[in-house]
Amino acid sequence: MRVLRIYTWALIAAMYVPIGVVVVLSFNNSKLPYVWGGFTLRWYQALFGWDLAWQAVLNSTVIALGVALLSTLLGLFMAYTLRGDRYIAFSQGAVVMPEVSEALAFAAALSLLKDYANVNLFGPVGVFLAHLAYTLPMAHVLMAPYVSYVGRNVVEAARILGASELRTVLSVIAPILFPAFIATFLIVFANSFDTYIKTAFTTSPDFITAPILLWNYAARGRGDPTIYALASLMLIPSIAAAVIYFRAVKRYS
Amino acid sequence: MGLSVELKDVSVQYGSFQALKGVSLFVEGGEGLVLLGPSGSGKSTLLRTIAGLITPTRGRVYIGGRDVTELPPDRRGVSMVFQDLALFPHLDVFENVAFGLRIRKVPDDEVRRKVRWALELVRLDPDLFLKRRVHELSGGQQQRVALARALVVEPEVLLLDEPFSHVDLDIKNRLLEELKILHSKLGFTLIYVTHDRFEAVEIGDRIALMKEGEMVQVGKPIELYKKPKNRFVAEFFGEANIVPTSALGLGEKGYAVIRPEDVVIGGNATYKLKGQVVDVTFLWHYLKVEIQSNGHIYKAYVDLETPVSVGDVVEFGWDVRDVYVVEE
Amino acid sequence: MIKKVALVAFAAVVLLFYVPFLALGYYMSGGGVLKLPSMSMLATTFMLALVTAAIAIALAYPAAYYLAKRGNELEFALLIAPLWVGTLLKAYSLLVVFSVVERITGIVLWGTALGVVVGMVYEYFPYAVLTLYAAIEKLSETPTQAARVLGASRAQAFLRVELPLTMPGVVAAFILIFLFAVGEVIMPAVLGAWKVYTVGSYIWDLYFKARDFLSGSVLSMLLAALSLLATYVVVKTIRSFSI
Repeated sequence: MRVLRIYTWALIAAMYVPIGVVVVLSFNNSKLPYVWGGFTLRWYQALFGWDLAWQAVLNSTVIALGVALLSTLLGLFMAYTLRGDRYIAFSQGAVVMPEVSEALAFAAALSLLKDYANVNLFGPVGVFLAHLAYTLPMAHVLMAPYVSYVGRNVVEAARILGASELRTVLSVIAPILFPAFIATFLIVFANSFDTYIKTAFTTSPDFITAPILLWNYAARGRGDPTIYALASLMLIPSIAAAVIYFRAVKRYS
Repeated sequence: MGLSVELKDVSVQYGSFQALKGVSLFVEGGEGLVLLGPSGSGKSTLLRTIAGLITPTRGRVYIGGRDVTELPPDRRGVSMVFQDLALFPHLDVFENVAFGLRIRKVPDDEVRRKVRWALELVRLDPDLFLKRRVHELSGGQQQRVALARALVVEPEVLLLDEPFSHVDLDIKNRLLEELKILHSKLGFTLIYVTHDRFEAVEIGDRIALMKEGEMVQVGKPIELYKKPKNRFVAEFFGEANIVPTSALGLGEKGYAVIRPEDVVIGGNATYKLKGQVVDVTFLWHYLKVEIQSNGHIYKAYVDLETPVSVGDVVEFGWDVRDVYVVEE
Repeated sequence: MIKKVALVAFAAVVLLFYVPFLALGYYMSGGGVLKLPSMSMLATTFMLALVTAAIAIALAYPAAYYLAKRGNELEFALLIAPLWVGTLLKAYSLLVVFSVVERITGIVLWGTALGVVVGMVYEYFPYAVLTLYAAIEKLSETPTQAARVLGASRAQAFLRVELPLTMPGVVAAFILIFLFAVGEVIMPAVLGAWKVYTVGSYIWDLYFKARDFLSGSVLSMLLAALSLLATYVVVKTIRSFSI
């Protein structure tokens, strides 16, 4: 077991090294990744002075916030009322579907709309809907186990004591589910904020998000330290989601 | 003939919880010993220590006179039947039973012969059961497979941890009887853990009664029944009336143990009390009568014909020679 | 009221997620010249996915075993948390690491199949840990103890009892990762520099470069069908596993 423990920690270290390297390099006062030129904040200053980056991060944030709020709320309602394997299977199927297939399908549908109904949704609306298409089933799947944790009898007790349906949700279910709600919200937010493929298929050239910007540099290889700073900032929602998720889950054990 | 098992001053500590507190015990080769006690008494821990699944924090374990304290379970020559049976769900009946032989690299035809022998021992028809999956079997059949798996390696010491706790009473009784026959036929040393005193007397030549990680009393069933070491033994091993000796004028310290079958109503008694009957229960071959006297409830087992009913004020008592006094 | 909202939300899932696949059907029925991926591209894709799944599981099994038996919450959280980091970020981080490695050791990873495998293992490793952990954690202690008492050494007990009993978990993890990896786009694109060309990259190019909806639709549908089938198999195996 000791050997396994050391092995496990070695793996943990290996998983965090690449991310750590980028964060460290974002403070490196040198353009070359293998030369340490001392600590600096100038890449962050450059990033903040870069209008396109501002626009990209802002766009990503707005889309992710909207998507997270809507899908978590609707996911909760779905998990609460649509119990049963049939519904969950639909959402699970959506979650494991390969992203390219799904993105292409969405792009194809948007193209049809554009060609035949003359409605061009490519751009912010398309991105929003494409993200929602994925995060809604995801929120449903994530919330379902916690909703079943509430148990029918608690709900029935509240109803018998005279609470209306809405009242039951607000004053009984919501407080119990609050941690799960927050955790799901953050996971969905991080997912939407980070996702690239769906965005690429549904956006228009003038609507840029943070991953698109990152891709434009990453796909060319290497990149400059300003992009390290961008990547480091993009980690924040992921870390927040992970930390809060594990804290929230603990409450239910 | 089975090997002897000896524990010397064995302690097991889990964090701050002491599961065994310096237990010593000697089991003779070929003997049938029952470890009896309420849940949490440490009887399972003791059995697992003998098996080598738990290493004691202190003390030594000997099997056949050899110190095995540091030996892993696979090198102790013991066999065990687990409470949840622990059959291998991915193997069929044949491979389950054959497991110990396979590990010992026994040749194939020998394995086949021995598996059949073991299944016949536990009265399962090999032709019917060999290829069955274990989850297709009934609870009683699973017990038999678990027993066959433990017996096929011809162990010198067989350990059983509440093996029949999940089957119906009549199947349990049949299995106990068969186990008893197997024990006398094969001659292994048998150590059997249970919390049920009826099961204990069925199977045990001797009984070791445990409480809170300590060995309270070891002896033949009749010794534990007639000469309990303390109140706990008297209460756990059979029904008893336990009265402070001071209340009966038998001295200042200690308790008098009077078995309910020694209590008589209205008949010949050398010690007599008066009381009111508060409950009468029909128990097949006797009546259980509860009599209140001086703030005590006395239990008496009397003839079915005894004319008593609730509310009667009766004279009752016992022969003073039937009173056994314990100190604590 | 809530029931209605939920039904509307569910309808939204179907409408937004599943209905777009009808558009693929529309393009497929439109006909045209079907450009199927070459055998070598299929071979590359499947080999990459196979190797990724095998390595990820081999790396994850001992860690999952440790987590299930002795691990604490922190260790579990640390191993799983990278799930929440986006694929592109991971790819980009590795790209930077690759350039440092190349400079120091001279080993070229960028643009090679090895580099892509490293990236995909990095990405899917937490899934392997999660799936295997679930399988190992369910394992009761007593069959192993029974094996030990019956004479099996620690290694024999593991090989003859624990490993076979966790095999359904291994199969589930394999199918899950294989599936994700077959549709992978980002890692081959970023770390393979488009030199390691997979079906995912092909679908990508069919849309962005060739604007060939027909071939893209056919491939996407095949990929989607494969994934649904595999998911069904996974669910079945896991269910039969809990005897």
